[in-house]
Amino acid sequence: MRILLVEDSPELGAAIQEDLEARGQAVDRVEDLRSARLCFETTPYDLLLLDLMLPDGSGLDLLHELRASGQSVATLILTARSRIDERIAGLNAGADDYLVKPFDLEELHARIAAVTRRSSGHASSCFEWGDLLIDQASRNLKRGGESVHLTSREWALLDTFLRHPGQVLSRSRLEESLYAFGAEVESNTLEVYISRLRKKLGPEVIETRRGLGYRMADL
Amino acid sequence: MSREIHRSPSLQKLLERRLAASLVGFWLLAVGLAAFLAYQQFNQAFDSALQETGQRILPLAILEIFNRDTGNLSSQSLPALNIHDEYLTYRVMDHQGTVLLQSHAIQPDTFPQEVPPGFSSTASHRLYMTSAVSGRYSIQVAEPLNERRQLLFKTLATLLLPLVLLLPASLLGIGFWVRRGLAPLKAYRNQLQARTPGHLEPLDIQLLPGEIQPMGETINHLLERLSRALTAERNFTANAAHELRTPLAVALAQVQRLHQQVKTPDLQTRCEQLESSLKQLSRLAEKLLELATAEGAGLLAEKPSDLLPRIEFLVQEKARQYPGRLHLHLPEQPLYSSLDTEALALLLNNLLDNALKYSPSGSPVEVALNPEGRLQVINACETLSLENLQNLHQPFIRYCSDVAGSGLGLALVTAILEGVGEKLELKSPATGRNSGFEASCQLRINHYANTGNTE
Repeated sequence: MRILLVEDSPELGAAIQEDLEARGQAVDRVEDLRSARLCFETTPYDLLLLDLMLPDGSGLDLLHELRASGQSVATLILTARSRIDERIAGLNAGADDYLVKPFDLEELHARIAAVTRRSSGHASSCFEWGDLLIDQASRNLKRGGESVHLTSREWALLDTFLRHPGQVLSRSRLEESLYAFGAEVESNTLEVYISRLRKKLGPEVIETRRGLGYRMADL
Repeated sequence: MSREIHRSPSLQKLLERRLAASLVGFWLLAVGLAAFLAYQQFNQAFDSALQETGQRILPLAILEIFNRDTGNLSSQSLPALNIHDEYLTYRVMDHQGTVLLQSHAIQPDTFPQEVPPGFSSTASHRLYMTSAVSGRYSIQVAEPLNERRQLLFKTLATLLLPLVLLLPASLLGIGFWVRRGLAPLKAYRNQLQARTPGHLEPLDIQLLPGEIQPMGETINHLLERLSRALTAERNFTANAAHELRTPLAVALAQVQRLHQQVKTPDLQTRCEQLESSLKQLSRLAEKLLELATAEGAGLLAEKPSDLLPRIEFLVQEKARQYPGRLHLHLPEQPLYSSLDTEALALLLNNLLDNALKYSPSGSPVEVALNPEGRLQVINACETLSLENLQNLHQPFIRYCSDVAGSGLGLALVTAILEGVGEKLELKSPATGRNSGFEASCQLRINHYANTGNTE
C-alpha cells in the first residue's frame, strides 16, 4: 500500500514512517502542504495520513482540495487538536477517521486497516476468498485451514489487490504500492513477489493480463 | 450558583403611581386653597352687604319710630309691601331690649338673647348689630348661613368638575409618557434578555437616555473584556493541548519503535516500563487539560445548538472502542442547548468511561436523554453504599482500584455541571432496578432556540 504521511514533526514522522515500512507499507513523508500537493500530482496514493496544523496552512485545506478534485483517497487525520468541532469539521471535509496524538502505533495500524477496509468496500477485516481465510487487521492468513506466513512486502502487495477487487492493476501501480520515493526497484521485483504470492496462495489467485497488468481473480 | 434575587418594584409603576398621587394631591390642595380664598372673599362681600343693610335700615327705622304715635310702643312688624320670602331679617330695639320694629317673617329663634355689637354668628345665621342715638336704639340684622354654604359648595363643585374630567386624562397621559420615557430602557433590557450566555457582542446603547448611557458603556466594556478573556482561555487550553501532546506522541512512537527493535529481554522490559509511564503521563496530561476546560469559564457556547447529533457523534465514537455495549435513547424532536460542545464531550465521555469501566465486561450501558434534557447513564454493577456514592464526586477517589483510571472522571463532570449551575446525581441501585449505578444530570435546554424567538 502506498501511503503519504504529512507530518511537520520530523521525529514523529520518522517514527511512524519507520514503523509502517517495517510492516511492508511504502511511505512517502512530507512536512508541508506544498510538498503534499506535489506528491499527489505525480503519484496515486492508497492512504493519506494527515496532520492538521502544518507550517503553510491547515491539513483540512488539502483535504478539501482533494475531495473537490474528485480524489477519494482514504484519509486518516493525525492531530494534537482534539476539539469535537474540529473532529467533526475534519470528518465533514471528507476524512475517514481521526486519531488524536499521542497514539499507540498499534492503534494507528488498527485504524489504517479499518479505513482502508472501508474504502475497499469490505465490512470486516476478516473475509473468505476461495479456500483462503484472510484477516487483514491481525495479518493472519489460512489456506485450507493451514496457516500461511507472508512477508510484509507480500502483505503490501496482497493488500493492494484486496483493495481493488476485480480491477486490472498496472505494473507501475503495483510497484508504487511496494516502494516509496527513492527506493531502488529492480526490473523483475514485482514478478518475484507475484510468483511468491501465487506459490503461497494458489496459482489461480492472481491473473495476468498481457500488456495491461495483473488482476485479483474472482474465486 | 444562582442566588435568590429580591424583585424590586417596577420603575414604571412606581413613577406612574407617584406622579399620579402627586398630581391628584396638588390639584386637590389647589382646589381647597382656591375655595378657601373664594369663601373669604364672598364672606367679606356678604358681611359688607349685611352691614350696609343694617346701617341703612336703622336711621329709617328710628325716623319711623319717632313719627309714630308715642303712646303705643309695643313692637310692630312692618307690613310687607307685597308677599315675598325674606332673605334678611332684622329687628330694632331700644336700649332696654324692647323690640320696636322687626321684619315680618322673623323667626323667634333667629336672634339669641345677647347679640354682641358688630358681626357674630350662630349655628344657622350671620348676625350684625349696630346702635345709634347714643346707644338708645340698636338694630340686629340676620342673614341665613345656608346661602353662603351653598355658594361654597357650588364654588367647590365648579373647581372640582374639571378635575374629575381631566384627572383620568392626566393619569393616562402620565402613563403614556412614563412608558415612552422608559421604552429605550425596556429595549435595552430585551436585548440583554435575548442574549444566550455565551453571546458577548456589545449591546446597542445609542437610544439609551443620557443618565443610563455610561452604564451601558461600562457593561459593553465588561462584555468585551470577558469575551477577550474567554477567547484567550480557550486558545490557551487548545495550544497547551497541542504543545503537550506533540512531544508525548514523539516519545511514545519512538519508544514503541525501540521496543520492536531491541532483542534483549532486559531492554524490552525497560522499553515496556517506559512506554507504560509515557501512556500514564499522556492520560494525566489529558485529564489536567480536561480539568482546565471543566473549571474554565467557556462552558457555554455563543449560540445554542442541537444536542442530539452531538450526543450521537460522541456515543458512536465511544461505541467503536466498546462495540455493542452502548444503547442510546434520544427524543424525537431536536433539543437545543447552549452547553459548549467541548464541555458536553467531556461530560458525556467521562460518564460513559465511568459506566463502561466499572461494569462487567460486555454488559450493556444505557444512555438516555429525555425531552426535558435530563441525561441518564446507567450501568450494571453491584449496589454501592451511600458512603461510596457520596465520595465519588471527589477528585482522585475511585470506587475500585483494579480498574485503570485517574479518579478524575466524576469530579470533572461535577465541575462542569457546577459551572453551568446544575448538579450530578448518583444513584445505586439505578432507577427501577435492584442493582446497578445511575449517573444523571440536567442539561441546559433553550426551548425557543429553534423557533427564532429570542424572548
